[in-house]
Amino acid sequence: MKLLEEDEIETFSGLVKEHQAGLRAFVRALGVDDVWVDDLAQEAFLVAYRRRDDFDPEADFGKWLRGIARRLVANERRKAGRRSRLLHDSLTDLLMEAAPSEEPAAIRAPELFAAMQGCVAQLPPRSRELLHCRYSQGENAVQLAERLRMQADAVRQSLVRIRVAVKACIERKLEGAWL
Amino acid sequence: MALDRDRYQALLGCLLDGAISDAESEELAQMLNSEPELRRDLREHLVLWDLWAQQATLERSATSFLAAWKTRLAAEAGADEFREAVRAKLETVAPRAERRTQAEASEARLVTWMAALRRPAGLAWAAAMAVVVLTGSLWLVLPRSAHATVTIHGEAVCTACVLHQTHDCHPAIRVTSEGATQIYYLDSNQAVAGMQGRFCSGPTPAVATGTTATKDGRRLFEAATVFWPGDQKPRDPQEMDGRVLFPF
Repeated sequence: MKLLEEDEIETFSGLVKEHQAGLRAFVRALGVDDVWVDDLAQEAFLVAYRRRDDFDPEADFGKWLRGIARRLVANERRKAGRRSRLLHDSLTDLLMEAAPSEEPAAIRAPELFAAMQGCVAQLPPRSRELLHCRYSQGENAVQLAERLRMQADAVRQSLVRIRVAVKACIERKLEGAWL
Repeated sequence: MALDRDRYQALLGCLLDGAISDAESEELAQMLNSEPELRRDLREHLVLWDLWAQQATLERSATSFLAAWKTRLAAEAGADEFREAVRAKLETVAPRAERRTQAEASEARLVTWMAALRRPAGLAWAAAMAVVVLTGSLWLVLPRSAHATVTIHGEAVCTACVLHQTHDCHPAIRVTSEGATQIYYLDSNQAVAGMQGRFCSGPTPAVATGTTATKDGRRLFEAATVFWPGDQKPRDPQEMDGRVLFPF
């Protein structure tokens, strides 16, 4: 019995590996605070695991999973009286509206990430360094500004310009709609 | 109302930096409300930069995510066992009470509980229940920390003898993934207390769960638990001196 469950967990782990990147990005795009994205995405996988018997093997697992994540975010939105894991109520409402509800689109994580890597590689060294410090070192604009002797707003502006340039590059690479 | 793109980008920068205020969020929401195209733009930025963060931050790697999911799954199973154990304990008390009248039964239950509370084992159960209730209450009442719990897999190392960065030995976890290495400097808290030998005896495989923060370019890690995969069981300060505080 125990072995059977271990097998099930291993099988399900394969699905977690396959879908985690896209699901996390999907959860973030629903207006979840960045530090809580993984927490909520894990919750979605836990719910999916508990309800695995309800899943039709012929159906699209990713779509089912995104539906669960969407419901979790909607539940979080309804919670009152305590700080939630969302960005801001109004922003989350708008982002939930912007995400297709009937057929939540799959995020093609590997393809997007490969395109991103290519675009980031084309950036000037200083821009790449800024992205590295922001994401790999986890430094926010205030910390970066202190270290680089700049204003935090100026660091944010630089980062936004870099992000806009990378996104435009991805749109060119992937030719139009990619989300 | 004409769209002020510079303002939108300034707000976008604050949001992606995790530094947007409520007033700025409201302002951004108003912009998005009148410009559906901006909603799409924001959504795309959120997706892209979350994907980038997943790849760039070791504690957000696919491996860490899967490990954390498995930990939570195991914790859920543990909670089920705990509930079953409590139910089984209650059922051993129930048959005696059922033979009495309802009033007697209520009184008997109270007396049984009070008696159970006076026994050391009963006290431990009551303490465990109180901790569960208190933890749950605190979780509901306190504002959420800006740091979510993450799990990192790496090697326990000492900042002096292995990393040669300090004179004194401080605990750290070295995580290497896909050619990149990240050092997480551990806070010397309860979870790490008594484990100094593990860190100082050379690189030892370790799995830590806790929260991260960055200070002066260093990744700090406040561990809640440290597991030693070589041991196949968690070690914590309660176990170090042979006592287990809670039966779960």
